[in-house]
Amino acid sequence: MKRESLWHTRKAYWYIIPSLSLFFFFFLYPIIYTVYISATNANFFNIMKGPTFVGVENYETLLFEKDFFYSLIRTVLFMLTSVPLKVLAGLLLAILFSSPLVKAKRILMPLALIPWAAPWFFSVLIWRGMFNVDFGIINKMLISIGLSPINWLNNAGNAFIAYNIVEVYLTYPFMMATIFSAIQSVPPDLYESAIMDGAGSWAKFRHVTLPLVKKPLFWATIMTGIASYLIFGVPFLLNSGGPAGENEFLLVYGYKEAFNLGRYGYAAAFMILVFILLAILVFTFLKLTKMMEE
Amino acid sequence: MKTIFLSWVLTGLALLIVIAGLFPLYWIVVAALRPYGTLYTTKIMLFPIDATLDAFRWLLFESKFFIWLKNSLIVYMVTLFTCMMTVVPASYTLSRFKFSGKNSLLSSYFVLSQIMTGMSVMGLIALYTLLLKLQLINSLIVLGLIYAASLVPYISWYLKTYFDSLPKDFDEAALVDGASFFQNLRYVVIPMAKPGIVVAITLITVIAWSEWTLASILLGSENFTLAVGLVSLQARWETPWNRFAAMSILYAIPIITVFVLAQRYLKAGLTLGGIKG
Amino acid sequence: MEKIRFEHLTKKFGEVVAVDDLNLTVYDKELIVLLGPSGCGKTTTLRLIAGLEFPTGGRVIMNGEDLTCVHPKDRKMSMVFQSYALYPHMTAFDNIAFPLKIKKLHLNEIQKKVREVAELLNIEDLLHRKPKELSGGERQRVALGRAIVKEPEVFLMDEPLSNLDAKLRVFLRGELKSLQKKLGITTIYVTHDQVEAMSMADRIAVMNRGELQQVSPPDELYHNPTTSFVAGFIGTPPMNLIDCSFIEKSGRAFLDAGEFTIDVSDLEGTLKTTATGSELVLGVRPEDVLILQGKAKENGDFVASVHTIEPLGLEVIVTVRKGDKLLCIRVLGDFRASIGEEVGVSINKQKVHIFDAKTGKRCNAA
Repeated sequence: MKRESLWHTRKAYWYIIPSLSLFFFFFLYPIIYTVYISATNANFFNIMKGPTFVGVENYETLLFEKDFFYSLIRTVLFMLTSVPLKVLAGLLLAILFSSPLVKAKRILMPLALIPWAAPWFFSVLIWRGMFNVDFGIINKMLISIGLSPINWLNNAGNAFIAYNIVEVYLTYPFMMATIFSAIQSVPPDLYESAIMDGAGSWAKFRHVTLPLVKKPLFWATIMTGIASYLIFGVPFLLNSGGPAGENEFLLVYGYKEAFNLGRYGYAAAFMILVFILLAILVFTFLKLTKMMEE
Repeated sequence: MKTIFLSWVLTGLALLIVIAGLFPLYWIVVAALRPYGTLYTTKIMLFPIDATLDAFRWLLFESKFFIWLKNSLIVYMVTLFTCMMTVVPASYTLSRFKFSGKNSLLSSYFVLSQIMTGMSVMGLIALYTLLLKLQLINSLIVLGLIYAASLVPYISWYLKTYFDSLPKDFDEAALVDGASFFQNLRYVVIPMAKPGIVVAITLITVIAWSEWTLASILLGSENFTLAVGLVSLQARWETPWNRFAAMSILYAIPIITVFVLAQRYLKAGLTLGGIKG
Repeated sequence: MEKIRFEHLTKKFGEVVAVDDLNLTVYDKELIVLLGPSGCGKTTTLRLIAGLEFPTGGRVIMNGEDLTCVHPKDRKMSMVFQSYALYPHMTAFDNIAFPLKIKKLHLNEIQKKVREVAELLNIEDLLHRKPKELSGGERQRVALGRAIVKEPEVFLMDEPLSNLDAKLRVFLRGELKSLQKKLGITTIYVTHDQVEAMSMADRIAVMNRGELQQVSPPDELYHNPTTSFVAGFIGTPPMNLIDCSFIEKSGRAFLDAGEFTIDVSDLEGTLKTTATGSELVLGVRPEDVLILQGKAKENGDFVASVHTIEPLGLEVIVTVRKGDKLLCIRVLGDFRASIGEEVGVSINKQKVHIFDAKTGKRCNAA
């Protein structure tokens, strides 16, 4: 027997195959099928009879479709606003809850994390109610302090702000927890040695905490950036992508093309482009940061 | 002196954050208890003096709550069972065994876990058209299998990392004692991996219970899960907020309770699962 | 009667050679100890025997059968791990019963066998406890119980006593030895503690860097080490090993250690034939060196000055120094001297061990 040890065996493949096949058939294959669909003219009418192959026609149409680019720009704008907000919120909250000055942390922190457990659309719909122009609690509070109510969801600009608020609400527990555990994993001796060297709170944060927290922070930023790029549920459920489609971010646009207009082939091509763009974005971002590090 | 003042300020701030975070949940509870019409008044009422259980009465006796609940449970059972049965042996194998392709598989699982949520919308189109052609649309079991499949990368990766933290000595002792792969798993490994497994089950539960996008497209009205049913209560102009609130509370409470109960395990399990990143 | 045989057993981890062409025979019912410093390959050898590692070359043969393709569970062996590997979620009873449960024995039979073993090891009252409720020594006995209950043909033990405190270790050494004799099961025991090995073993196989240095009963290992490594490893305090070269002057043979020379004319014959060159290592045990005080100091082989004195009650360990060479000497009874005092050193030529500096192998006859 030419094996190294008991743990080097081909039986390992057999144990992995069930989960791998499950993943392949019900998830991976559909993704591949999307590529196929994107090359057909599949739509609501011809889907059962069998759509015809059209090659890159859908892609060509897309690249000249101005709605595609508007959608892309809106999404990028959203990324530019929501990502810093989310990361900052997570960072500040993590710092707050790891500060020795805050009392009752052991009770307060789990409480602060509870919104994480609530199903996302549950929270989104509650916010929809709270943002209601007439009886939403937010406007009621504004009125009670003498301000005029804001038309949240029927105004493109305000809706954009509303999306940001809700998105921060949905993600702050996760960001906070991730950065918090990164902060916790900094060995206390480093702080003690910094204190001996005469460092005050700000210096301690800048020279001990921040460098060691940079890596998880970096990855959290990337993940949250991807999440913002792929944002769907928040705009869709709040107001269907802005009054009259003015806030249709990428995935919302794609969804509507597929399931409201029934243009499956076209929508599939759209999705593929969205993901190719995502890959390019992430790749460039990583390359840039790597270059900056050197 | 200054630190004590600062301490109170910061604690107050933390408390404020907690309140802000829990406020929407509080609001929905209030909304469920108030008679429908009163929500339209301009007054703010933090404590529902005019509380009524009307919405809950509707919920229990007139709404489709129990049908939707049954559907959700069916999907959940399929997801949990399929996922755990296939992933536990697989992630144990990924932890202990050495074989070619292992590292590439692990890194792909890791990457996939991160972008999974976005991919579901993309896969949605394909899944819809595929299932339509195969006449498998509107099936609770198929939905459960899809959920289980989408969870494979994340749960495999998480459990693999967890199993890594259990010393190999026990496995080897069991092997020398004569145990087969499955006997080892069943009698030795799984009992020792309880916290990690609890975390995995919690994660699966939270994710499966909160899924809406796929379910809303792939299910017909008689098969709606609670998620889809709940969202369907939202009308374009006038939503029956009290009824919506009542159902959503009953829907969200189990999940939040599970989460709070599992906190104890989550703390041990998440840090071992490498969330430190 | 032969029980296990290793033929050219080799194990490589990438470029690192953990076990190098090991050839050894283990006899039925014997307690053989694999002894050596950490990294010498003894644990790897044990794992190769158990079947947890697969050899890169060579094979393991038991009862005439080649074990290479045999799964650990079919090798009829039991292993006691250094960490005991007691399943933490099971009681002591369940831990011991585990191998029997796997074999699907009937519950009554399992109960009977476990109780028998528990009685043998004096742990009947502890059976309902979980490992974390047991002391080190108790856990060790449970681990032993689990190994015994299988009724194996071979026991494999990987430093089972190293996690225990010194007193317990000394006590359990004797207990393990008598248990092994009573059960009559061939045992392969790994340790880095030479005192443990010397007190327990029927034979000791000394290993260093994957190579087998020597395998002999403890006595012989002590009195007739075949390599300089074994010579320096066995014995406390360790044997003095001094680099020197062989020179002939005016018809007589000497070992020149720089600071002093020793007349070895009587041994000249054997040295000339077995040594590869003139670079040698002189080995002499602390008890084979005599200290001469006062006027007698000129009568020894050379004069040195007292470096340290360690009174140990029954004996005194004196270290003397000559130039940059230190020599450790055992003196029975009283010894009084001042640090720096000049004393004579006389080496018992009948008891010296001379090794080739290059190969480490013994040059003079026993």
